[in-house]
Amino acid sequence: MSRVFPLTPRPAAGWLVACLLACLASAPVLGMELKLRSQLIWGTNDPKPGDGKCADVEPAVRDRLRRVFKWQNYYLVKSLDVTVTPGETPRVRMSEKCELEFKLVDDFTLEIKLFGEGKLAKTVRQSLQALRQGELAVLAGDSKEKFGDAWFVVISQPRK
Amino acid sequence: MTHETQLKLQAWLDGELPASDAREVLRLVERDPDAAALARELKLTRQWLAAGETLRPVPESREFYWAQIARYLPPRESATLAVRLIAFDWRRWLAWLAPAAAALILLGVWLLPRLAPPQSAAARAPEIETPGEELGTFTFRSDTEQMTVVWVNAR
Repeated sequence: MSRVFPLTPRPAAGWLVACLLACLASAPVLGMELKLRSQLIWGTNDPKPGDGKCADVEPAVRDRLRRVFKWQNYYLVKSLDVTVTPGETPRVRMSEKCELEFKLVDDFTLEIKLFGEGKLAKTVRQSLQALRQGELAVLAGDSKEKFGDAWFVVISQPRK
Repeated sequence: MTHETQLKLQAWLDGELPASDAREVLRLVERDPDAAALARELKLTRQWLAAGETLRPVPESREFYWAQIARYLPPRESATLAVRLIAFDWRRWLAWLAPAAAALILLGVWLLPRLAPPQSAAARAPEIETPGEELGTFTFRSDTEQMTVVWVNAR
């Protein structure tokens, strides 16, 4: 028989292949990591200051902010990329007073903690599915430094 | 006498000619001395062979001899055998595919709830916790801009 069909497999090979497929398929879930981009943005109606401390916000984000908020100009103060893995809580400093901490709560939820001057100010939970679909998670508030302006922390998934 | 006539004469002696040809060859032998001499010589040769030929026995037995021939003859049921082989092979494939399919189904059952969020999670608004009293917040979402905003106010 084996001369006629030399490649006829044994049943044990089926189990081996199935286990291999299972390992490959479960790898994305077991080793899930989330890449995020956190941007501190200053919203104002004033022109861009000439001190060079601010950069332009990418047009796609700027236009979306313009359509929601009253300010016409949005300047990037700081941008950080952070990778979040299950079981870890990376913390990033966006400014002297503002820090963010990220945590994967489960397969669907990202928890973002906002710290102001070292104290926990807010805990926000965001759908990972929405983030993957292009959702912007925005934490914002009135600027204490200049009346009428605002600060924004925009969290998104960086486009590849 | 031609070669064809010689062959006919040989066939006549072996009794292989039809009756009309046999009568013709008989008349030839009666009237032609060369034909008669050849017929006589062939008859003697046949008699000598019948009386004096040495028997040479084959060293292998008869059964062994025919078994060797039968081994190299193609089997009469080769088509049926091929079908039987394919059917048997499919059973072996099924024995291989069945555990693989079972494992994949189990894997799918395990992965599905992990890859697709429950409907309650998709519709859930961001949960917000404000530990301090000095801050006030409100949340809104812009569906058109795909943006969830948590606005923080100092009281």
